[in-house]
Amino acid sequence: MMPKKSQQEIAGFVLIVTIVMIAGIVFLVISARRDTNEVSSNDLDNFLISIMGYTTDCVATSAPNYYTFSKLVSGCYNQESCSNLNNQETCVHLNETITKIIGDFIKTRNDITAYRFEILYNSSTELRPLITAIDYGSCTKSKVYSAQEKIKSGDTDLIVIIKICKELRE
Amino acid sequence: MVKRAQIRIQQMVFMIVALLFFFILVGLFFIAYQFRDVSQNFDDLQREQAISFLQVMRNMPEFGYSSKDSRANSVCLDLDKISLIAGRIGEFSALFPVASIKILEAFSTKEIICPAKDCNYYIIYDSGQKNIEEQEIYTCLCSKRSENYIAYDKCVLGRVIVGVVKK
Repeated sequence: MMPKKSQQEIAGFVLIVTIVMIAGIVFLVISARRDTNEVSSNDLDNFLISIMGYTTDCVATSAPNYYTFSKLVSGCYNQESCSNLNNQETCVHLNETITKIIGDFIKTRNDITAYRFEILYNSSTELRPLITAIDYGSCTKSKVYSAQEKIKSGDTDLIVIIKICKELRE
Repeated sequence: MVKRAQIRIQQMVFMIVALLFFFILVGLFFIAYQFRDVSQNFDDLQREQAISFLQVMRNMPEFGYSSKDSRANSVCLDLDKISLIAGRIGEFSALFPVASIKILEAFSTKEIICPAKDCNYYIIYDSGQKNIEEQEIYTCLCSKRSENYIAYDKCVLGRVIVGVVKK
């Protein structure tokens, strides 16, 4: 039979190891949760603000009354069309323009693995999508950055949201 | 009796050393985990620095754009001014806390350095330093155009490439 004192020592050691392990697990869980959260990014904010001022190829009524991107979003909400592009719907032109812009943007940033672009509007109680969200790539082992801009169209707020996934370096 | 006490001391020392190793390992793991994002954060900080420099540029009358559209006023650079000022900073270079400033019209297939026909790449200032790291930030570049004898603002997307000396 083992002496009582050694039993106490072993029990003490097991207790210490257990406490350290629990502390480690708690720390890992907290860190893992923090990583999946979205963080706002000045870089992306800057990109989104710049897009808002971009002059599109769509003419509102007569040339040279070109829509800026932000006006095109309002135009899409008000179901307007481009008078110079065979009356193409502004929503279709908006979709084409943003797909091209973001496609070119991610070509210059090779750490971006995925993105999501969406425009929402507030309809009495809830936010509804103005256009189908544009998605690309998959977001795993990455940090998510997001930015948003609000555009006023009459009494309605249109919210333009962009999210990107940046690959984490090992 | 003495031998037994020695064994007890040895046991205690062994336990203390084992515990010390254990805590060192846990500490190393913790430090490695904490420093995992340092490289990424360093890049992000450099980008933030470049962005704050862009804000300064936007507010400088030599670069900022003035138009009736308040959004363009606050965020865009004036392409007409840029084309005039490119390469002529000279003695004012001390005003810029960076090693180089280049502006490129985004999404252009070919880079043509200005001044030239259909150019799209403006070298505002280049200190000639080799040990630099470049950060790109998007902005809008606006200029006055006219169509049917009516003036309008044409804004395209551009990239400001700011060179920072590596430390």
